[in-house]
Amino acid sequence: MMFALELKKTKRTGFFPAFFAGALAASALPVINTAARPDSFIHQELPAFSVLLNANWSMCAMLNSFLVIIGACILYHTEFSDRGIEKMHQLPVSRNQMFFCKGFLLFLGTGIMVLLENLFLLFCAWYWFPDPSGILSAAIQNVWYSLILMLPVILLMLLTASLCRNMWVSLGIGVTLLFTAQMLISSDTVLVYFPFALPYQFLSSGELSGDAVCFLAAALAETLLFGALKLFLTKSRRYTL
Amino acid sequence: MNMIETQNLTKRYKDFTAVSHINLHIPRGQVYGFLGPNGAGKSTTMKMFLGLTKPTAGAFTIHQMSYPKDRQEILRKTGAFIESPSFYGNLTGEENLEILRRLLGLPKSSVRDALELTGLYEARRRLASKYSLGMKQRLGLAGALLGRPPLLILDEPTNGLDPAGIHEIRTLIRSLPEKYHCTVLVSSHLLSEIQLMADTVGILNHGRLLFEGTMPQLTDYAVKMGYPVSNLEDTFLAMIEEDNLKRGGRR
Amino acid sequence: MNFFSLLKTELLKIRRTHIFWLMLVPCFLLWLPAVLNVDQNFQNASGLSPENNFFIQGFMGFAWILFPALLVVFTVMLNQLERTNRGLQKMLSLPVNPGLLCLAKFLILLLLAAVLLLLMLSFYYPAAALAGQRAGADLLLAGDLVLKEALLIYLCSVPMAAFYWLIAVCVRVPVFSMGIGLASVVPSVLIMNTKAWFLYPMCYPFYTIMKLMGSLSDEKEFLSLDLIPWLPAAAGFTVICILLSCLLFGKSERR
Repeated sequence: MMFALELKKTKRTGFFPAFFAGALAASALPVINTAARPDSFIHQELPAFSVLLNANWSMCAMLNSFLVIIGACILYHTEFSDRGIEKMHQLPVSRNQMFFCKGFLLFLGTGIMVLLENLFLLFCAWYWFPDPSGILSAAIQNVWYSLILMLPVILLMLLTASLCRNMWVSLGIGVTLLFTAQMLISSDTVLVYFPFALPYQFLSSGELSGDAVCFLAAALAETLLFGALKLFLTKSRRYTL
Repeated sequence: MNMIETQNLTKRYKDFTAVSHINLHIPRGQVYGFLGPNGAGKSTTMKMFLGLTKPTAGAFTIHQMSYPKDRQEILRKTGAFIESPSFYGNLTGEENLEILRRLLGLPKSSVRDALELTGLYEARRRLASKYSLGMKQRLGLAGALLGRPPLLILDEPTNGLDPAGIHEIRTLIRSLPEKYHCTVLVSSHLLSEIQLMADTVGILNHGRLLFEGTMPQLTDYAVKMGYPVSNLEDTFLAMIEEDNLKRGGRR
Repeated sequence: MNFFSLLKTELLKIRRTHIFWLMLVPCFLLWLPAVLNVDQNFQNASGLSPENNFFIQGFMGFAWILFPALLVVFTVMLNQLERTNRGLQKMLSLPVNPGLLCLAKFLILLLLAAVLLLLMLSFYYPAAALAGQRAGADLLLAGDLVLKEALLIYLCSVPMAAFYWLIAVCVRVPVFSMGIGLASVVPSVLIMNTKAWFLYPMCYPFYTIMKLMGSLSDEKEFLSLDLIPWLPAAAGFTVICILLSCLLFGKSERR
């Protein structure tokens, strides 16, 4: 029931349209990129899907993170802007449940994006590449891998948004985190597991290598950590903010 | 001599008419009470006077000036308080007024004057977002009174105040024309309140002007029309009720 | 009521918004890893000298993402300040020209951008000195090159800022104004490499820094930029955006 209510609250906020538009924009990037210069891609040695992911995934991941930042800001902005959240707190409603329902909404939005992006990558591989074998399974693997790696971003961003009454503060923090991640993606230290750096990883071969397992484990650990942090914060603080 | 005059002033939104052909005559140096139930079109009319919304038809003059030609001049001479108060939450009460003061080009002392008039002086260093509803209301009023403009447009200024506050603000409004010769247009949905403040009333229902005149004229009118006159609140309710019936029983 | 005092009141409005701290943190975060990983500057493949590389790497991330994204954050802030407690409605009932008010707000946006760039510079010098000390080399660049590039990035960002401001004024649903703003940052890396780059203001700052990188690795004097299709395009774009936003400012509050 809580989830249905949270879904209702997103009405007319442009939440899902934003994710759709974002997904289309993110999907257009690989198509335009490949259409503009197919020769520089199709003659590479690697399998088709790997080539495409290498060329485009960082942009897609960045857009995904941006959309999660915006989505989280919006989900809590509707609460704070006209004090809906104060009413919520007067009702017999669990704050944690509300938080995780919102988290699930964000996850759904991200799901739309990741799915569409991979579909369009499939299209690129099928349309331009001479040997598109094995791309379907690679794409499917990449979808669920990417979704799990997005989880820490979703929860961390939602946590930030739930703590800041002013939207621009959470937006600013999100942008800063995303920017920080940019510098850590290629780091060779443990910093590569920074939540916002995780989405830039991808699974091109369709197989879990040792590295990929490490990333998955890190993502799940961080998800649990941020979830627990939320539980702790609701318990220790009577009021958000 | 009238401060504000309107000729068939009308405002239509897509599917409904908020204000329909009203002719108001607001005399200079008096308190004019603008009365009507919620949604009667009081705020819309006031917004038109402030240039916040454009009339669909009709015209009006303020100080013999009109929009959009004399917008700056009209607004310079008008202090306004529309709907719920508008302010900047990250600033203190004093800073909020300071912004208005600079934009109006008034002397520094006017801020203190407005704060003292509305009883906010003690709380001037507090953030406006931390104000109680009543204090926010007072802040809005202070913003309207800033510089003591010759015309005050106040939309339900006593909303959200406690009884003592309501009394205080009422007394203040009542005293303003004598204190510095201004004209006050004040709206309310309570006749009892208007009765205590206003010299002249205009009664609005569903965008139409039902009555305009002084308080004694209102009583005469009620007697003539057969409305109850023992209690003016009943007069007002009967008048609205009858108008609603005429319109087909719609509220 | 002159324009200058309008600017002063706009400046007063951004008090206590914590926006300064929001700028400080990313600047710090940007240079911290640069100092920690100073060794990487001595083994880069791009043919840049270590001191050039240190400077370029730092400013590249800034010009590509951080600067445009923070501009979007600023526009969101400027708008939210007016809308949360309906301050704008009060403003519109004062004898102030809405177009001028809009212009004043845009100048505040440019001012915030300038502060951001100054912060970035003021972090660069200590960071470069510290990194140089760690590596035992001199990583400080000549002042005029750094200042010139910073100024260039700033000037290049004006059309972009005008675009973001127009979006923030026109698109009232915050999710869309933020979304359009942030999403427009991402493709600049693609468009920059096409012939029509000058039609996309969001890539100007990034473009100049890449040009600088190219000219530094070729050991040319200073970067050479083709001004001809670029300058008219940028100027036209800026003027159109500013004019439109001034015309449309406060429209929905005055229905």
